Amino acid sequence: MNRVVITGLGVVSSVGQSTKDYWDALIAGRTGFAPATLGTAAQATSKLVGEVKNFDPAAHFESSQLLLLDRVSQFAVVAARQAVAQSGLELHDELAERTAAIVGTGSGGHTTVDEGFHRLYAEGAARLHPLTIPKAMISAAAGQVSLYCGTKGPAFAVSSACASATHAIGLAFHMVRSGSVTCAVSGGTEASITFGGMKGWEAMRIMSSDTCRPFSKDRKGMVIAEGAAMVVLESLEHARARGADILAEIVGFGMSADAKDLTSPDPNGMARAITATLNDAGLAGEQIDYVNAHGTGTVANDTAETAALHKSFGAHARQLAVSSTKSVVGHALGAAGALEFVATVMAIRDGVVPPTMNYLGADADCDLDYVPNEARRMPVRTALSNSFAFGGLNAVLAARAFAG
Amino acid sequence: MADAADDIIKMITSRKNYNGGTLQPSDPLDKLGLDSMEVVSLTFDIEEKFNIELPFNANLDIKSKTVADLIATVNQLVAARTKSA
Repeated sequence: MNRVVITGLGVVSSVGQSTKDYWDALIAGRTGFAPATLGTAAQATSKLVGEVKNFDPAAHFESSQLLLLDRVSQFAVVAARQAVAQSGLELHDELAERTAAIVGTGSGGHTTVDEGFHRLYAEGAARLHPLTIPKAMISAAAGQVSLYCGTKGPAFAVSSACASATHAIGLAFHMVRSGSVTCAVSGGTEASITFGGMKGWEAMRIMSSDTCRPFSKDRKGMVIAEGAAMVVLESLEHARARGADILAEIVGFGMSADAKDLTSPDPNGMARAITATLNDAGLAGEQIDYVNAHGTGTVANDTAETAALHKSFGAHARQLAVSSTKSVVGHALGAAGALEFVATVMAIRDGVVPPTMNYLGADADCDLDYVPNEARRMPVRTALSNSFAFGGLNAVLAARAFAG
Repeated sequence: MADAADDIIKMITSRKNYNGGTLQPSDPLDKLGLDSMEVVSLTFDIEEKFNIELPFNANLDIKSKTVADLIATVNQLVAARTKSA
């Protein structure tokens, strides 16, 4: 089995459109929440969202290319290009064929669907744009990443709502580890802040009216966001042979299903995914320093996730630094797991744990160390990134400092 | 004007998971046997029936509000709508 390392990161987020800007905002705790301004969503809701502000498609693509790219694919390709550029990989013919592109998304080309159906149903249009289907399909972003980065190996989309990106990166990791591919470009993307999307979220009545305060008393729910993050994974052997700068090592991936309830999370299911990850990595719980939590800011998630951490780590749960970067960047749904895995890798690299912002004080059911309101400098040798989705679909990644 | 209480009580007690017995107006919404998404579905049914918009956040209100609070809010919103119409 190959050891697998991370050699590139790319980010398009509500608080920065590069890994550096994103990471700086997380560490400084600079949230970017505001009422929606773009497209149909601006009329739909007064709720706060984490929009990718000042994203200029024309700075990244020709107008002829944009005809084929929903916003969700634009984000994915921009983040993937950043990750590949940082890795220094040159995807020539033979290596291209041994490189995968695996992209998670919860809802695919939501803008294309929303605008197209609005034309049909509301405006009585007689026809849709001929590229509606290839822009809207859930696998479009995976196809576009392979096309723009020139990967010619396995390419497909992974969809598991808010765990999509974590499932995608986990599968990519296992494929590189097993030797079925040498490299992978993988991550997640989401752009579903539309009229239809926001009305759907509003109807669930779990969106916050002020801000996102994971694990805090008086938390009011989640803040929907959009964006993308991508990583380049490759076998250690390949990275060494080409003298690549190794950012961290990815060492574990675990999954589980609650098989219990479509929307209410189950601590047992979450804990099984965490334990599966530790087992996959051959790690003891005591070796984990930091957990980047799913931490949505809803009452249900944060209580269940805290219980799951107690269950999986026992007494060591109280030694963990646990934080939710959704408090700064919002919940980017199918992209969230990738944004958070990037934050986990950066925490390992820089020896800084990003804070859980907007924290007002302890909640009776959330009794761990959530790194409230201020980043913490500490050695992060090994860390987990949790994602728990509707449907009871759970996925967790483990990464550690690369030590040769 | 008709009071919304009877309708709302019927909407609660006819739910599959309602824990049975006589509904008390002082019952908290999280003690009815309904899970959180059922309470959210109930608010949707009430909005559709009375043509109102309930300001309801599942993170806060399921624990803190009672059946009586819900009925009072619906009555106020229906009255406000009738007046403005």
